[in-house]
Amino acid sequence: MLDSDTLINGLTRGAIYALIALGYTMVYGILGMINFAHGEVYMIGMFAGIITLAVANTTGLGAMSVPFALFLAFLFAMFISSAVGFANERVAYRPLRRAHVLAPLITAIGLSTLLQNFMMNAQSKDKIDFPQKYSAYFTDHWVMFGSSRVSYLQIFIVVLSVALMAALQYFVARTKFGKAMRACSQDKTMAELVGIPLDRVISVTFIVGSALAAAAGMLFAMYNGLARFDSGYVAGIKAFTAAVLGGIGNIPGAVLGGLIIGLAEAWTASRPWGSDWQQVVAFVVLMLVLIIRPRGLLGERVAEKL
Amino acid sequence: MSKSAQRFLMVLWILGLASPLVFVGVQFDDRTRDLVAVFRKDRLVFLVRDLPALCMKHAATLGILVIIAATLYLTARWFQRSTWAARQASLVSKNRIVVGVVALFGFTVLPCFLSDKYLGLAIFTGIYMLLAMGLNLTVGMTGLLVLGYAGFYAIGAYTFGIMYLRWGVPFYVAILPAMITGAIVGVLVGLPSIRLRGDYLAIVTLGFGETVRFLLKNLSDITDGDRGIVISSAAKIPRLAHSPLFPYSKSGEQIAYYLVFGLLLLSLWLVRNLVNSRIGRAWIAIREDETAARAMGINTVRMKVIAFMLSAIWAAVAGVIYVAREGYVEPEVFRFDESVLIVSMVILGGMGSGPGPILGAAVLYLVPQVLRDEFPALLDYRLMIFGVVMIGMMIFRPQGLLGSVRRKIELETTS
Amino acid sequence: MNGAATNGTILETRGLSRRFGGLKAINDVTLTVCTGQIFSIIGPNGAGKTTLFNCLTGFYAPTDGEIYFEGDNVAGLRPDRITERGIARTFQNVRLFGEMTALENVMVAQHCRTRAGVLSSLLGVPSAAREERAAAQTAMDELHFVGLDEKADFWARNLAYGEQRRLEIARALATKPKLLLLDEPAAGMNPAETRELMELIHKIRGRGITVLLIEHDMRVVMGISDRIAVLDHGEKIAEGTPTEVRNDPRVIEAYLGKDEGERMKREGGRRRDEG
Repeated sequence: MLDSDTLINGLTRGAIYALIALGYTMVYGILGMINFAHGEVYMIGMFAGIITLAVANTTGLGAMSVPFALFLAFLFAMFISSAVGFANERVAYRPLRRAHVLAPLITAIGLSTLLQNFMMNAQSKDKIDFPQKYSAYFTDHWVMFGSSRVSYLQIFIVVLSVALMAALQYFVARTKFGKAMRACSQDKTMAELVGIPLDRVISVTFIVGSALAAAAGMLFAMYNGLARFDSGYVAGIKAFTAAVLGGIGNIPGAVLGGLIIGLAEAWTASRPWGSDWQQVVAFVVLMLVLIIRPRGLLGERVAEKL
Repeated sequence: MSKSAQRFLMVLWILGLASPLVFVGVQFDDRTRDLVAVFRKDRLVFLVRDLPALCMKHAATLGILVIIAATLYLTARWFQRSTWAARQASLVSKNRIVVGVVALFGFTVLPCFLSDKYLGLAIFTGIYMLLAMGLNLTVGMTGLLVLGYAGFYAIGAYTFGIMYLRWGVPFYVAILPAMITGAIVGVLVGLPSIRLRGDYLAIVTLGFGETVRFLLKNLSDITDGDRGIVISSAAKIPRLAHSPLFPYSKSGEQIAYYLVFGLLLLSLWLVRNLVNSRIGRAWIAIREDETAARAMGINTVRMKVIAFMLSAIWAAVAGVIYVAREGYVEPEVFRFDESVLIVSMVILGGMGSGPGPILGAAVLYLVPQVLRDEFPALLDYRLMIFGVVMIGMMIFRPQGLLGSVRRKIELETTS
Repeated sequence: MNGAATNGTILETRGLSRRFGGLKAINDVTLTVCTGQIFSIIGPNGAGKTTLFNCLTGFYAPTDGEIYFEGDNVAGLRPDRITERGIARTFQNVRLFGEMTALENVMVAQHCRTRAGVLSSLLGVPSAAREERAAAQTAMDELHFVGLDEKADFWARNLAYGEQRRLEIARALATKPKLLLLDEPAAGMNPAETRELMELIHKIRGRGITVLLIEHDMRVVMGISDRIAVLDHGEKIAEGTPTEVRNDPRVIEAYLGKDEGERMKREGGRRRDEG
C-alpha cells in the first residue's frame, strides 16, 4: 500500500506536522484551550526566517557562509515566533483566563485573523519564494533507499525534528521546570498551591511551542520552496488534527498523530485522484476522530465532575 | 523572578510587540537571482508621520460615523428588553410603539433618498443582518460556536444556482427547496457535532464550511466549479422601471430592498417569538449550564439540533437572496473569512440578544464600505480590524454592544 | 407497569453499583423508599452519596444493579427522560441559570411539561401563547410556595445564597416531580434558614411528593426524616428510623472512627444528642 516514495514523503511531512502539533497539545494540556493562532506563529517564523536570509543576501553574508546564514535564519525565526507567541498569550489569553470557555477561543480566532491579514498586507498577497541558494545543498544531494531517492533535505528535516522533539522530551521529563509543566497540566490549582509559578510555566509553554513551530515553518519553507500568509491556516488545521488524533494534551500522541497525518496525506497525494483531495484529508480525519474516539489514540478519557 | 529571567521576558515582550515593524519594514526584491531584502523606509515613515496626519484630516468623517453609530446603538439599546416580564410589558408601552412606528416609516421611505450605490449597500447590509440573526440562534443563544456558517450560506445560494442551471427557475421558486436543503444539512451537521465540547465543535463546523467550499469547487459537473453560475435577469429579483418615487436611483433595486426589509421584519418577529418560548429558554439554559438543563428535563440534543436547523434555514434564505440580487455565485464567496465576519457581527452586537446581531451587521459591514471612498485601502485591512474587534470585545465588553451587564458578569467569571 | 408501585414503594434500588476504573464509588446498594416518605441518606464525605444521586437521575449509568421507579426499571435512562418520569433534583453546588431571572429559571423547568413545538414557537400561535402564560403562572405559584414571589424579576445571580437554594428547589418543583432529590439543601445555612428549610420540606411532602435527601446537618436529618440510610465507602452500612440509626455502632464507627465505636459499644450504646 505504501511505496517507499510515499513513505519518505509522509515521514518528512509528518515530522513537520508533529513539531507544530506539539505546540497545540502543550497549550491544551495546561490551559485546556485550543490556541487557534498557533498556525500563524508558524507562518511568522517562516517569514522571519526568509527575511533573515534575504538580509543575508543583501549584506553579503549569504555569499560568505550559507550554513551560518541558514543557522541565523532558524535562530531568528524561532526567536521572533517565541516573542509573538508569548505576546499572544499575554495580550489575548491571559486576561480571559477566568472567563467563559468560549471567550479565549474567540480571541484566538481574532488573533489568527489579525495576524494573517497583517502579514498579507505587510508582505504579500501572493507567495514568497524561499531563496534556493540556502536549500540547494540539501535538495541537490540524495541517497538511495531501496528504489527511492531520499534527499538530504528530507533527512535533515527528519533529523532536526527528531532532535527538537528529543530536546523537548528531555526538558519535560528530566528537568525541574519540565516537572512543573507536567504538574500544571495535571492540576493547575494544586500546582499553584505548592508554589509553582503558573504564569511563568504558561509563558514558557507558549514560548517553547512557538519556537518549535517556527522551526517547522523554516523546514516547510525549505521543503516546499515557498511561504504564504495563509500557510499557517492550512498547516494549523493539519497539525491540530494531528494533536487531536494522538490525544490532545499528550506529547507522544502529538508526534504519533503528526506522523499518521503526514503519511495519510502523502498517500492521498500519490493517488491519481488525489492531488485535489489531499487538502481534505485532515478535515476528514478530524471529524472521524471526534465522532468515533474523541480522546484520540493515546489520550485519556475526561469525565465531568458533577 | 530572577533578574536575568525578568530581563529576558522584557526583551521578549519588546520583540514580540515590535516584530510587526520588521515585517512592515522589510520586503523582498526577487528580480535579482538572489532574494534581496528591501528596507521599506517609506512605509515606516508613513506609519509614523503620515497616518496620524491622515486621521486628523478625516476626523470630520470619522466623527460623523461615530455619531451615526452612537445613535443606532442608543436606539437599539432602548428597544432592547432582556427579562421575560419586561418583554411582555414592553408590548404595551406607548413610547415604544411610537418609536417603532417612526423607525418603520423611516426605513420604508429610505429608498426614496438613496442613490444607487447606497441602495446597494443597504441591501447588502440587510442580507448580512439576516445572516447574523440566523447565526445568533446557535452562537448567541445556545452557546454553540459555529465557525463554518458560510457553508450553510453557500448551500442556500447553490441550491438556487443549481436549480437554475437545470430547470431555469426564478429565485422565488428556489426559496422553499433551499430552506429544506438547509434544514436537512443543518440537522446532519448538528447531530454528530453537538456531543462535542465547545472548541471541538468550532473546529468541526469550520471543517464543514471548508468542505462545502471544497466540494463546490471540485464537483464541477454539478456546480460548474470555479467558474461559478450566472443567473439571467428573468430569474433574479425584478428591477423597477424608473419611477418618480425614487429620484436618485436608476437601478430599480428598490424591490430587492423591500424584499430584504420584509424578510428582516419577519425575522425579528420570528426570533422574538422564539425568545419568548420554551425553546428559546431551553437554549439559554443549555448555554448557561447544560448539565442543569438536562436535569430540568430538557432534551439538550434535540434542542441543539433544532438550533442548528433553524440557523441553517436562515442562512439558506440569505443565500438565495444574495444570488437573486447579484446574479452570480461562485465558491470563493463562501470562504472562512465570511464565517469569521458573521461571527464578529454576532459578537459585536451582543451574543444572545435579539436585536444585537442587526447592529453588529450594520457596523461591521457598513462602516468599512462607507469608509472605502475616503480610505480605499481600508478594505484590505478589513480582516485585521475584525480581528482586533473580536479580541477587544471579548476582553472589554464580552456581552457585546447590546448585551446586558449580567451577561458580562457571566462571561467574565467561571461558573 | 409491573406492579411494585402498588404497595406504596416509589423507589427501589437493587444491588446498585457504580465503578470508575478500579474504584467502586457505590457498591451493591439496596434501598427502598415508600411514597410520601422523607428519606435521608447520610455518611461521611466520599461515601458515594452524590454518586448515588447521579445514578438515580441518569447522569451516570450504573455498572450493576437496577433502579425501580414506580415499578419501572429506569437505570441508565437519560437525565431528561428521568425528569420527565417524575424524579427531580437539586445540586450540591447551586447551579442556577444566572442570565435568567428567578421567574425564568422556574419557567425553564417546565420544559418537559409543555409541548409547544418549533413551528408553534416560531409563529407564536395562540396555543403556544396560552402555554407561556400558564407556565408563567405555575412559575409564580412555585416561587410563592418557597417564599420568593417578590424576587421573581431579580436576576438569579443577584439573589442571596439562601434565596438561591430556595430557587433551586422551586425550579425542581416546577418539573412536577413525584420524587424530589435534594443534595445537601442545608449547606451553608444559618439556624433560622435551616428551620425554614425543614418547614419547606414538610410542605413539599404535604403536596404528596416523596423527598430523598443527602444531608450532613444532623439537626435536619434527625429532625425531619422518616427513615435514614447510611453509606460509607460506597456501601450501605445501616438503615432505619432516626433513633435506630443514631444508636447503631457501625454508624458511629464510620463517623467517629474505630476507637470511638469500640468505646461506645463498651459503654452500652449510651449516646448524647448531637447538637
